[in-house]
Amino acid sequence: MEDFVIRDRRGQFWLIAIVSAVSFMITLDYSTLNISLPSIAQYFGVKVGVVAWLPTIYLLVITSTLLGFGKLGDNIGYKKVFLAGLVVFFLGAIACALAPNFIALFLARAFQSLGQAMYSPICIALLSYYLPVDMKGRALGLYATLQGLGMATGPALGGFITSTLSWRGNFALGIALSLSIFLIGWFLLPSKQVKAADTRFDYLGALLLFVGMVGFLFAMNTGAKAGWTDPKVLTALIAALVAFGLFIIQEKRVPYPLLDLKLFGNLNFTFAALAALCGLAMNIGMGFLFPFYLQIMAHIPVVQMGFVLMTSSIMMMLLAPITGSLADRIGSRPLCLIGMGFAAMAFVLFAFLTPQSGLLHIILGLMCLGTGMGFFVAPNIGW
Amino acid sequence: MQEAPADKQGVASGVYKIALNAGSSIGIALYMLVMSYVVIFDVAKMDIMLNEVRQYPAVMMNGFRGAFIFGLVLALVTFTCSFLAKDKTPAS
Repeated sequence: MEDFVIRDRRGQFWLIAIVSAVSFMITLDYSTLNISLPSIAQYFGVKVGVVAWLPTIYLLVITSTLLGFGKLGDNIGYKKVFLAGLVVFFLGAIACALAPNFIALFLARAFQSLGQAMYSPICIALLSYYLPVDMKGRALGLYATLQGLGMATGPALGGFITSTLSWRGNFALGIALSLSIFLIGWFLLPSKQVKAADTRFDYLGALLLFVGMVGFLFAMNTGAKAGWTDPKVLTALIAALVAFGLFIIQEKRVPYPLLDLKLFGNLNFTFAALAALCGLAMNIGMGFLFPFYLQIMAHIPVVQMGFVLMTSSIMMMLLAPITGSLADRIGSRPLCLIGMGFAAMAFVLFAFLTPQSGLLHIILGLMCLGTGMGFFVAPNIGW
Repeated sequence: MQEAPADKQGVASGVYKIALNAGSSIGIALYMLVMSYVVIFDVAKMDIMLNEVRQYPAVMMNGFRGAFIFGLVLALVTFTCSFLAKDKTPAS
């Protein structure tokens, strides 16, 4: 691996710039879509539960395919998979912007998410593979900061575009960014790479994981409305359970698993991963729900909503670099515990909200949540 | 992800990213689930039609409040998991 390390400053700069720009694009795209969900629901006349499938399918496709694309990058080259992902994302964004109905938008978003599943796992691999050891920490720090910047500016930018143009305008950001990054990456990303020794791919494992996730989330999304004894919901739940069961058997059986289950033998790793799962479920789920609260209950205009929501991301962005380096000295656990203390305080504040609550109450809660995530995220990654 | 063996950092990063993404998907579904349940419960109690619910801010507010309390539960579960995951090197 050392043979392919980039030594010149210019090459290092462009590699970090390209990967950081992608990190910015990922969170910007996600957060601008979130803020425009109520407008999309209104435009197509669909219910909140239906429009919720837009962020869900996006994350679902990524979750069930990113390991596979990471492995593909090892096999055929990081640059190829990274650039191909940007092309898919670019085409998907165009299809989303032009979608004539909700079904078309849903399918276009699913396609676009495949693009992100391709370049997302490659980003970290590019930094790890081509940068000198003493530069990786700083590069990953910049990667995380740009991620936070996308999250912080996305709601305001998305709110502004949605209110002045249309929700369709938000996809223009993804179109412009992915095209620019593709062109720069085409000329400046390194392509030399050692091929992986074992190039076999666990297709069955990938399929079972996908079926399990789709079934589980479909059941979660429709169970509350249709009832848990509804044949569709029951079928989806049973299919998910069977698929997850078969996935575990498959991963134990094959010598080239998609997910190495031996990792979970380390309880510290397992609890850290569980904390990541629950912490993100708490924060992202809230990121989806809160714009609806602000619009329906607090009657805050879309453009102002973006600025209100930004307070949480700004707190997180400001704190993450500090808590990341602090974790090296005092350990991850105390910082994560403090973070979840702040998050719990935020939800207590939210639970006391009423339709008459002032903006200060809302912003205070969001700042507490952002502070909590600022303490939690970086130390949790470094665990 | 320092807890994972050195030769499995790639897989560990993948698992971590899956936990993040799955957490996001599951989070959205669960918040919706809790909110729907609270609203449906109130609608049944008040004997009104589900499509009239927007005319009853108190019912909607209860739905949101249910979701916020669920968020508190998730924060406490995350707190517990963080407490159980010990640091590899003792704090200096």
